[in-house]
Amino acid sequence: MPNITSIGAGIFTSLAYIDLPVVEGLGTSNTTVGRSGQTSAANLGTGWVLELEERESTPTPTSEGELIEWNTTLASKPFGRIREFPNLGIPANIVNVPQYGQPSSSQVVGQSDPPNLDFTFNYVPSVHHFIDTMRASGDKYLFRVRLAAGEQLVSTAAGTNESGATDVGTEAGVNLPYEFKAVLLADMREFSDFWFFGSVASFEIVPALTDANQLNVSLTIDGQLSGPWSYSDGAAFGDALTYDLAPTA
Amino acid sequence: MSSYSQIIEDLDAVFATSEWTSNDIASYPSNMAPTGTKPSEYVVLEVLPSQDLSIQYGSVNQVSGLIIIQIYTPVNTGPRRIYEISDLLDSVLQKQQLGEGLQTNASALDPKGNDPDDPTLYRADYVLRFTSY
Repeated sequence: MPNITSIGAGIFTSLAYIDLPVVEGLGTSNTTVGRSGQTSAANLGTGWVLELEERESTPTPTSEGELIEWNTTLASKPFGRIREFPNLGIPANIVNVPQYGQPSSSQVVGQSDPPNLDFTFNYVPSVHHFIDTMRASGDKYLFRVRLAAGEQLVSTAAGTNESGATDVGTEAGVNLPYEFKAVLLADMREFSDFWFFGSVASFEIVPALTDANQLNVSLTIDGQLSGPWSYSDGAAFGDALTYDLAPTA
Repeated sequence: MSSYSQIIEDLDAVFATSEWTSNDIASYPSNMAPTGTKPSEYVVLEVLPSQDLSIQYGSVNQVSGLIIIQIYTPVNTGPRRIYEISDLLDSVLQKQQLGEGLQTNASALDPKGNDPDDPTLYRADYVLRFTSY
Protein backbone atom coordinates (compact mmCIF):
# COMPACT_ATOMS: atom_id res chain seq x y z
CA MET A 1 0.00 0.00 0.00
CA PRO A 2 2.81 2.58 0.21
CA ASN A 3 2.03 3.25 -3.43
CA ILE A 4 -0.69 5.88 -3.39
CA THR A 5 -4.16 4.33 -3.32
CA SER A 6 -6.48 7.32 -3.23
CA ILE A 7 -6.99 10.68 -4.89
CA GLY A 8 -5.44 13.72 -3.28
CA ALA A 9 -3.29 16.76 -3.83
CA GLY A 10 0.41 16.00 -4.08
CA ILE A 11 1.34 18.66 -1.55
CA PHE A 12 4.48 16.90 -0.38
CA THR A 13 5.83 15.92 -3.79
CA SER A 14 9.59 16.35 -4.00
CA LEU A 15 12.52 16.09 -6.38
CA ALA A 16 15.89 14.61 -5.48
CA TYR A 17 18.84 13.24 -7.37
CA ILE A 18 21.75 10.89 -6.81
CA ASP A 19 25.03 12.76 -6.95
CA LEU A 20 26.98 9.93 -8.57
CA PRO A 21 28.18 9.43 -12.16
CA VAL A 22 25.82 7.53 -14.44
CA VAL A 23 27.30 4.50 -16.19
CA GLU A 24 26.01 1.98 -18.68
CA GLY A 25 25.09 -1.45 -17.32
CA LEU A 26 25.33 -2.08 -13.61
CA GLY A 27 26.46 0.58 -11.20
CA THR A 28 28.56 0.10 -8.10
CA SER A 29 27.04 0.99 -4.77
CA ASN A 30 28.12 4.41 -3.46
CA THR A 31 30.32 4.93 -6.54
CA THR A 32 28.26 4.97 -9.72
CA VAL A 33 24.64 4.66 -10.82
CA GLY A 34 23.99 2.06 -13.48
CA ARG A 35 21.27 2.38 -16.07
CA SER A 36 20.56 -1.30 -15.54
CA GLY A 37 20.60 -1.12 -11.76
CA GLN A 38 23.10 -1.59 -8.97
CA THR A 39 25.30 -4.58 -8.25
CA SER A 40 24.27 -4.56 -4.63
CA ALA A 41 20.56 -5.10 -5.13
CA ALA A 42 18.22 -7.67 -6.52
CA ASN A 43 16.27 -5.28 -8.71
CA LEU A 44 16.60 -1.91 -10.34
CA GLY A 45 14.41 0.05 -8.02
CA THR A 46 15.92 -1.26 -4.83
CA GLY A 47 19.40 -0.54 -6.05
CA TRP A 48 18.67 3.00 -7.06
CA VAL A 49 16.71 3.93 -3.99
CA LEU A 50 19.47 2.62 -1.73
CA GLU A 51 21.66 5.38 -3.10
CA LEU A 52 19.23 7.92 -1.60
CA GLU A 53 17.87 6.44 1.61
CA GLU A 54 18.34 3.67 4.11
CA ARG A 55 16.07 2.11 6.70
CA GLU A 56 17.44 1.35 10.10
CA SER A 57 15.94 -1.30 12.29
CA THR A 58 15.44 0.39 15.64
CA PRO A 59 12.26 2.45 16.04
CA THR A 60 12.55 5.74 17.89
CA PRO A 61 9.67 6.60 20.25
CA THR A 62 8.15 10.00 19.47
CA SER A 63 5.11 11.89 20.68
CA GLU A 64 3.19 10.44 17.75
CA GLY A 65 4.29 6.86 18.27
CA GLU A 66 7.36 4.92 17.35
CA LEU A 67 8.98 6.13 14.16
CA ILE A 68 11.18 3.77 12.24
CA GLU A 69 14.52 5.35 11.50
CA TRP A 70 15.31 6.38 7.93
CA ASN A 71 18.38 8.31 6.92
CA THR A 72 19.92 9.70 3.77
CA THR A 73 23.09 8.48 2.13
CA LEU A 74 26.05 10.60 1.10
CA ALA A 75 24.98 10.88 -2.53
CA SER A 76 21.42 12.05 -1.81
CA LYS A 77 20.71 15.62 -2.86
CA PRO A 78 17.44 17.55 -2.75
CA PHE A 79 15.96 20.18 -5.02
CA GLY A 80 14.33 22.45 -2.45
CA ARG A 81 11.55 25.04 -2.70
CA ILE A 82 9.76 23.65 -5.73
CA ARG A 83 6.90 25.80 -6.95
CA GLU A 84 5.70 23.91 -10.01
CA PHE A 85 6.26 20.43 -11.39
CA PRO A 86 5.99 19.58 -15.08
CA ASN A 87 3.77 16.93 -16.56
CA LEU A 88 5.43 13.59 -15.94
CA GLY A 89 5.18 10.84 -18.49
CA ILE A 90 5.07 10.45 -22.23
CA PRO A 91 3.13 13.03 -24.23
CA ALA A 92 0.94 11.92 -27.07
CA ASN A 93 2.05 12.25 -30.67
CA ILE A 94 -0.98 11.45 -32.71
CA VAL A 95 -0.61 11.56 -36.47
CA ASN A 96 -3.59 12.10 -38.76
CA VAL A 97 -3.47 9.75 -41.76
CA PRO A 98 -5.52 10.69 -44.85
CA GLN A 99 -7.73 7.85 -46.05
CA TYR A 100 -8.44 7.82 -49.78
CA GLY A 101 -12.15 7.92 -50.47
CA GLN A 102 -13.15 8.36 -46.83
CA PRO A 103 -14.87 11.45 -45.42
CA SER A 104 -12.46 11.70 -42.49
CA SER A 105 -8.87 10.76 -41.86
CA SER A 106 -7.81 8.21 -39.29
CA GLN A 107 -5.25 8.54 -36.53
CA VAL A 108 -2.20 6.53 -35.59
CA VAL A 109 0.23 6.87 -32.72
CA GLY A 110 3.57 8.19 -33.92
CA GLN A 111 6.91 8.28 -32.20
CA SER A 112 6.50 10.42 -29.09
CA ASP A 113 8.78 13.29 -28.35
CA PRO A 114 10.37 13.25 -24.92
CA PRO A 115 8.45 15.42 -22.46
CA ASN A 116 9.66 18.88 -21.51
CA LEU A 117 10.57 18.69 -17.84
CA ASP A 118 10.31 22.33 -16.82
CA PHE A 119 10.48 22.88 -13.09
CA THR A 120 9.85 26.18 -11.33
CA PHE A 121 11.44 27.02 -7.98
CA ASN A 122 11.01 29.82 -5.49
CA TYR A 123 14.53 31.02 -6.10
CA VAL A 124 16.98 31.30 -3.22
CA PRO A 125 20.50 31.81 -4.59
CA SER A 126 22.26 30.16 -1.65
CA VAL A 127 20.04 27.08 -2.03
CA HIS A 128 19.87 26.73 -5.81
CA HIS A 129 23.34 27.70 -7.00
CA PHE A 130 24.25 24.03 -7.39
CA ILE A 131 21.72 23.68 -10.23
CA ASP A 132 23.72 26.00 -12.44
CA THR A 133 26.84 24.01 -11.65
CA MET A 134 24.99 20.90 -12.83
CA ARG A 135 23.94 22.73 -16.01
CA ALA A 136 27.47 23.91 -16.73
CA SER A 137 28.89 20.41 -16.31
CA GLY A 138 26.37 18.81 -18.65
CA ASP A 139 26.64 15.61 -16.62
CA LYS A 140 23.83 13.10 -16.47
CA TYR A 141 22.22 12.15 -13.17
CA LEU A 142 19.45 9.91 -11.91
CA PHE A 143 16.48 11.96 -10.66
CA ARG A 144 13.61 10.86 -8.45
CA VAL A 145 10.22 12.53 -8.20
CA ARG A 146 8.45 11.31 -5.07
CA LEU A 147 4.72 11.93 -5.40
CA ALA A 148 3.22 12.26 -1.92
CA ALA A 149 0.00 13.60 -0.50
CA GLY A 150 0.98 13.17 3.16
CA GLU A 151 3.85 14.76 5.01
CA GLN A 152 7.08 12.85 4.69
CA LEU A 153 10.14 12.68 6.88
CA VAL A 154 12.64 15.34 5.81
CA SER A 155 16.36 14.85 6.07
CA THR A 156 18.66 17.14 7.99
CA ALA A 157 22.11 18.29 6.95
CA ALA A 158 24.20 15.43 8.33
CA GLY A 159 22.29 15.61 11.62
CA THR A 160 19.62 13.70 13.50
CA ASN A 161 16.28 13.80 11.71
CA GLU A 162 12.81 13.47 13.18
CA SER A 163 12.94 9.68 13.12
CA GLY A 164 16.05 9.69 15.28
CA ALA A 165 18.32 8.49 12.50
CA THR A 166 21.54 10.25 11.57
CA ASP A 167 21.54 11.54 8.02
CA VAL A 168 24.74 10.87 6.13
CA GLY A 169 23.81 13.24 3.32
CA THR A 170 25.14 16.73 3.86
CA GLU A 171 22.08 18.60 2.61
CA ALA A 172 18.71 18.95 4.30
CA GLY A 173 15.45 18.51 2.45
CA VAL A 174 15.46 15.01 0.96
CA ASN A 175 12.10 13.36 1.55
CA LEU A 176 12.33 10.04 3.39
CA PRO A 177 9.59 7.50 4.18
CA TYR A 178 7.45 8.34 7.21
CA GLU A 179 7.02 4.94 8.80
CA PHE A 180 5.57 3.94 12.14
CA LYS A 181 6.04 0.75 14.03
CA ALA A 182 2.53 -0.66 14.37
CA VAL A 183 2.73 -3.61 16.82
CA LEU A 184 4.21 -6.37 14.68
CA LEU A 185 4.04 -4.65 11.34
CA ALA A 186 5.14 -1.28 10.03
CA ASP A 187 2.86 1.39 8.68
CA MET A 188 4.28 3.71 6.03
CA ARG A 189 2.67 6.82 4.58
CA GLU A 190 1.94 6.43 0.91
CA PHE A 191 4.08 7.73 -1.89
CA SER A 192 4.96 6.78 -5.45
CA ASP A 193 8.39 7.28 -6.96
CA PHE A 194 9.23 8.08 -10.57
CA TRP A 195 12.82 7.84 -11.83
CA PHE A 196 14.49 9.25 -14.88
CA PHE A 197 17.99 9.84 -16.17
CA GLY A 198 18.69 13.32 -17.40
CA SER A 199 20.68 16.49 -17.13
CA VAL A 200 20.07 20.15 -16.40
CA ALA A 201 19.55 22.05 -19.65
CA SER A 202 18.59 25.55 -18.56
CA PHE A 203 18.77 27.89 -15.59
CA GLU A 204 16.68 31.06 -15.79
CA ILE A 205 16.03 33.50 -12.96
CA VAL A 206 12.84 35.54 -13.00
CA PRO A 207 12.79 38.48 -10.54
CA ALA A 208 9.33 39.32 -9.29
CA LEU A 209 7.84 42.53 -7.93
CA THR A 210 5.03 41.23 -5.74
CA ASP A 211 5.79 37.52 -5.48
CA ALA A 212 8.77 35.33 -4.72
CA ASN A 213 11.62 35.44 -7.21
CA GLN A 214 11.47 32.38 -9.40
CA LEU A 215 13.87 30.03 -11.09
CA ASN A 216 12.94 28.09 -14.21
CA VAL A 217 14.94 24.93 -14.80
CA SER A 218 14.54 22.53 -17.70
CA LEU A 219 15.77 18.98 -17.36
CA THR A 220 16.41 16.77 -20.34
CA ILE A 221 15.22 13.22 -20.01
CA ASP A 222 17.28 10.37 -21.35
CA GLY A 223 15.05 7.39 -21.96
CA GLN A 224 11.68 6.97 -20.33
CA LEU A 225 10.23 7.73 -16.96
CA SER A 226 10.25 4.66 -14.70
CA GLY A 227 7.53 4.27 -12.13
CA PRO A 228 5.48 4.34 -10.04
CA TRP A 229 7.65 2.47 -7.56
CA SER A 230 7.25 2.11 -3.84
CA TYR A 231 8.03 -0.14 -0.89
CA SER A 232 6.16 -3.23 0.11
CA ASP A 233 3.60 -2.69 2.81
CA GLY A 234 3.20 -4.32 6.16
CA ALA A 235 6.69 -5.70 6.60
CA ALA A 236 7.80 -6.11 10.19
CA PHE A 237 10.01 -3.23 11.17
CA GLY A 238 13.00 -5.52 11.54
CA ASP A 239 12.55 -7.10 8.12
CA ALA A 240 14.08 -5.93 4.89
CA LEU A 241 11.68 -4.05 2.65
CA THR A 242 11.32 -4.65 -1.04
CA TYR A 243 11.09 -1.73 -3.39
CA ASP A 244 9.72 -2.74 -6.70
CA LEU A 245 6.00 -2.47 -6.33
CA ALA A 246 4.05 -0.98 -9.14
CA PRO A 247 0.28 -0.86 -8.52
CA THR A 248 -1.39 -4.16 -9.29
CA ALA A 249 -4.89 -2.80 -9.88
CA MET B 1 5.87 31.54 7.01
CA SER B 2 7.18 30.41 10.33
CA SER B 3 3.97 31.14 12.31
CA TYR B 4 1.13 33.60 12.72
CA SER B 5 2.53 34.82 16.01
CA GLN B 6 5.85 35.53 14.28
CA ILE B 7 4.04 37.83 11.84
CA ILE B 8 2.62 39.95 14.64
CA GLU B 9 5.93 39.93 16.50
CA ASP B 10 7.79 41.17 13.43
CA LEU B 11 5.30 43.98 12.95
CA ASP B 12 5.10 44.95 16.61
CA ALA B 13 8.88 45.21 16.66
CA VAL B 14 8.73 48.03 14.10
CA PHE B 15 6.82 50.21 16.55
CA ALA B 16 9.41 49.59 19.24
CA THR B 17 12.31 50.87 17.16
CA SER B 18 13.79 54.28 17.92
CA GLU B 19 13.09 55.24 14.33
CA TRP B 20 9.38 55.09 15.12
CA THR B 21 9.29 56.01 18.83
CA SER B 22 11.21 59.22 18.08
CA ASN B 23 8.05 60.42 16.27
CA ASP B 24 6.29 60.46 19.63
CA ILE B 25 3.07 59.03 18.21
CA ALA B 26 1.34 56.54 20.49
CA SER B 27 0.72 53.15 18.89
CA TYR B 28 -1.61 50.39 20.02
CA PRO B 29 -2.26 46.88 18.80
CA SER B 30 -5.78 46.01 17.71
CA ASN B 31 -8.15 44.92 20.46
CA MET B 32 -6.40 47.29 22.84
CA ALA B 33 -7.95 50.72 22.45
CA PRO B 34 -6.53 53.53 24.60
CA THR B 35 -8.49 53.94 27.80
CA GLY B 36 -8.97 56.97 29.99
CA THR B 37 -7.57 60.15 28.48
CA LYS B 38 -6.78 59.44 24.86
CA PRO B 39 -3.73 60.91 23.17
CA SER B 40 -4.57 63.70 20.76
CA GLU B 41 -3.28 61.50 17.94
CA TYR B 42 -2.42 57.83 17.81
CA VAL B 43 -2.32 54.78 15.54
CA VAL B 44 -3.79 51.29 15.92
CA LEU B 45 -2.10 48.33 14.26
CA GLU B 46 -4.32 45.73 12.66
CA VAL B 47 -3.08 42.66 10.77
CA LEU B 48 -5.22 40.54 8.46
CA PRO B 49 -3.19 37.49 7.31
CA SER B 50 -6.21 36.29 5.41
CA GLN B 51 -4.96 34.86 2.14
CA ASP B 52 -3.17 31.53 2.01
CA LEU B 53 -0.64 31.10 -0.76
CA SER B 54 0.07 27.68 -2.21
CA ILE B 55 3.28 28.56 -3.97
CA GLN B 56 5.60 25.83 -2.75
CA TYR B 57 5.50 22.07 -2.29
CA GLY B 58 6.19 20.70 1.17
CA SER B 59 5.27 21.68 4.68
CA VAL B 60 6.25 25.35 4.45
CA ASN B 61 3.28 27.69 4.09
CA GLN B 62 3.14 31.21 2.80
CA VAL B 63 0.45 33.70 3.63
CA SER B 64 -0.36 37.18 2.46
CA GLY B 65 -2.72 39.80 3.75
CA LEU B 66 -3.17 43.38 4.79
CA ILE B 67 -1.62 45.55 7.44
CA ILE B 68 -4.05 48.31 8.33
CA ILE B 69 -2.82 51.15 10.49
CA GLN B 70 -5.73 53.21 11.74
CA ILE B 71 -4.57 56.80 12.12
CA TYR B 72 -6.50 59.02 14.50
CA THR B 73 -6.02 62.81 14.64
CA PRO B 74 -8.14 65.58 16.15
CA VAL B 75 -11.16 66.75 14.14
CA ASN B 76 -11.23 70.20 12.57
CA THR B 77 -7.46 70.29 12.09
CA GLY B 78 -7.40 69.50 8.38
CA PRO B 79 -5.97 66.45 6.62
CA ARG B 80 -2.30 67.42 6.63
CA ARG B 81 -1.37 65.57 9.81
CA ILE B 82 -2.84 62.35 8.44
CA TYR B 83 -0.53 62.59 5.46
CA GLU B 84 2.47 63.43 7.60
CA ILE B 85 1.88 60.40 9.81
CA SER B 86 1.47 58.26 6.70
CA ASP B 87 4.85 59.43 5.47
CA LEU B 88 6.34 58.47 8.83
CA LEU B 89 4.71 55.04 8.55
CA ASP B 90 6.07 54.70 5.01
CA SER B 91 9.58 55.26 6.31
CA VAL B 92 9.40 52.24 8.61
CA LEU B 93 6.90 49.93 6.89
CA GLN B 94 6.69 50.39 3.15
CA LYS B 95 8.64 47.91 0.99
CA GLN B 96 10.49 46.51 3.96
CA GLN B 97 11.73 43.06 4.86
CA LEU B 98 10.78 42.49 8.47
CA GLY B 99 12.17 39.61 10.45
CA GLU B 100 13.27 36.70 8.31
CA GLY B 101 10.44 36.28 5.86
CA LEU B 102 7.88 39.05 6.06
CA GLN B 103 7.88 41.46 3.16
CA THR B 104 5.69 44.51 2.70
CA ASN B 105 4.65 46.12 -0.55
CA ALA B 106 3.65 49.67 -1.47
CA SER B 107 1.22 51.51 0.77
CA ALA B 108 -2.07 53.29 0.20
CA LEU B 109 -4.03 55.76 2.26
CA ASP B 110 -7.79 55.70 2.76
CA PRO B 111 -9.23 58.71 4.68
CA LYS B 112 -12.38 57.59 6.46
CA GLY B 113 -13.66 60.83 7.98
CA ASN B 114 -14.90 61.46 11.49
CA ASP B 115 -14.70 58.48 13.81
CA PRO B 116 -18.26 57.38 14.58
CA ASP B 117 -17.17 56.08 17.99
CA ASP B 118 -15.49 59.32 19.04
CA PRO B 119 -16.61 62.62 17.46
CA THR B 120 -13.38 64.33 18.58
CA LEU B 121 -11.25 62.14 16.25
CA TYR B 122 -10.72 61.95 12.52
CA ARG B 123 -9.68 58.57 11.08
CA ALA B 124 -7.71 57.42 8.07
CA ASP B 125 -6.54 53.90 7.23
CA TYR B 126 -2.97 53.38 6.07
CA VAL B 127 -3.00 50.07 4.17
CA LEU B 128 -0.13 47.79 3.17
CA ARG B 129 -0.20 44.41 1.51
CA PHE B 130 2.31 41.96 2.96
CA THR B 131 3.53 38.45 2.27
CA SER B 132 5.07 36.13 4.81
CA TYR B 133 7.27 33.59 3.04
